[in-house]
Order: sequence, then C-alpha cells, then structure tokens
Amino acid sequence: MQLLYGDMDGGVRYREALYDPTGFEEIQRYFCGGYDFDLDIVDKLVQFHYSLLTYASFGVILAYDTQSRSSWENVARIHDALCARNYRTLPFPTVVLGLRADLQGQDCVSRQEAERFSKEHGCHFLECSAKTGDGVHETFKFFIEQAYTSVLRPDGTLDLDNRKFREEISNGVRQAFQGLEQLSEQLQPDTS
Amino acid sequence: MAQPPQTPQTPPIPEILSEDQWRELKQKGEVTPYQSNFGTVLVLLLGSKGIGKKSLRMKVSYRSPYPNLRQALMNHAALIR
Repeated sequence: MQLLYGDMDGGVRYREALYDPTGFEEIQRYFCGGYDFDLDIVDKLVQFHYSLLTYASFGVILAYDTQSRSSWENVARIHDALCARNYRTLPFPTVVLGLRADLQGQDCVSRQEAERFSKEHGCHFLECSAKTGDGVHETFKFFIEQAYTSVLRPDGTLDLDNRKFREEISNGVRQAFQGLEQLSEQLQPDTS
Repeated sequence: MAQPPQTPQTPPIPEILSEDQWRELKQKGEVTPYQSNFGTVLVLLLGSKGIGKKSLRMKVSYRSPYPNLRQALMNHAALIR
C-alpha cells in the first residue's frame, strides 16, 4: 500500500480522504433471512479490478437511457464483450436496466424491444428512475435474491463455503473482465 | 396407481429488506437482529456516459460519518485512473 501511494503523491490524497470530516459514500446493505448483504456497486474498470478481491457474489447491470438510442445500441456491444465469444448467455445474473423510466411516452427505446433482447440473451429486464426512486431497490433486490438462492441448501440454510459456485462465478468474471478491457481499448467512452 | 415423481421443494426466499426498511422495522421491534454477514454482492454497472449511472448509485448510497479505508482507496484509484 505504501508503495502504491508513494509512487503517486506520497499519500496526500489518501490522507485527505481518510480524514475528510464529511465522511464517505457508503452503499446500503440489504437484509434477507437473517443475513446482511454488503452491496458494492462499481462503474469503473479500475474499481472493478480492485473490488474483485472482496466479492462473494457477482452480477452485472447493462444500463441504457430509455431516451437515448445510442446508449441502447451500446448494451448489445457491452453484452458481446462480456461474453467474450465464450458464452451465449452470461454465467452470472445480468439485468438489462432502462434508466429514466419516469420520462414515459418519449421513449426512444421501446419496452418490448428491451424485453425481447433480455429474453433472447437470458437477462432479466427491469426499469427504474433514480429521480423518483421507482424500481431502484427492486433492481438491487434482484441481485440479493440471486446471491441468496445460489447457495441455498434444500433445508433452508445457506452454504456460504460453496466452492463450486465460487469457481464458476470466478471463471465467468475473469472472462468478462478480459472482454471489457478489450472493449475499453476500442471504445473509450462506453465503459467509463 | 403410479405416484407422480416428487420434485425437491425449494425453500421460499425470505423477504428482502433495504437498510432503511430494516431500520424502520427494527425500531418498531418487528425484526430480530441479523445473525451473520453474507459477504459482498458486487454489481458491475455498465453503460454509456451520461445516462444516469451515478444518479442510480447515489440513490442507494449515503454519506457515512466514519472513515472507510477501502472507500478511500477506491476513490484514490479513480482519481489516478
């Protein structure tokens, strides 16, 4: 850790951040069946790389703006990059998410089109609005539900040391990360 | 008469509560404290620039009054990208 920051700015920014009196951004936890789930949302590859050290379950949101056709076209492009020609459907929970759903009636991307794409590619389709809050918790609850059921034993307890599950997810994540890095090199704006 | 094959029954998934909902119910004494930690559910949020990804993220986040080493490292990693 000292090497990393020593190479950059001597840890000045890090110390500023650590003692920032206004605190830090924390993501809400979710609760299910006596367990609490730490949600971690990353939207940059560099954060993704770092966060892989701590995850117990993994999922992807392919987001688009319902008012932007180009953002919708990028969903298919990102999906292909994640599959990295290895999968037809992704080996981890994936949500195709329409943002700004409060602006209904002016959609550039129809709900039917997005639902059809999701069905064909084995993804779950949801819409939400960060402005009104509609559908936001439902989106993240989907991932909590997937995490819970992925290690659920028939007797109702959770097998948190399920190695097979972790290996399968790890392989999928590794492939996805390689695909994203390639896409990032080709299309700088699309995964920032 | 042949019995239909029995399919294993999947236990029902308990209700999922957000932190706000959980706190609200806890104040009313309607939930018991959680027993253990599942771990981190990592969600990778991808999409074009300017479509509202940050707004979505902010909707489920809050400013913690406590210093968080991990978050500090992530913020710094984003700055030096």
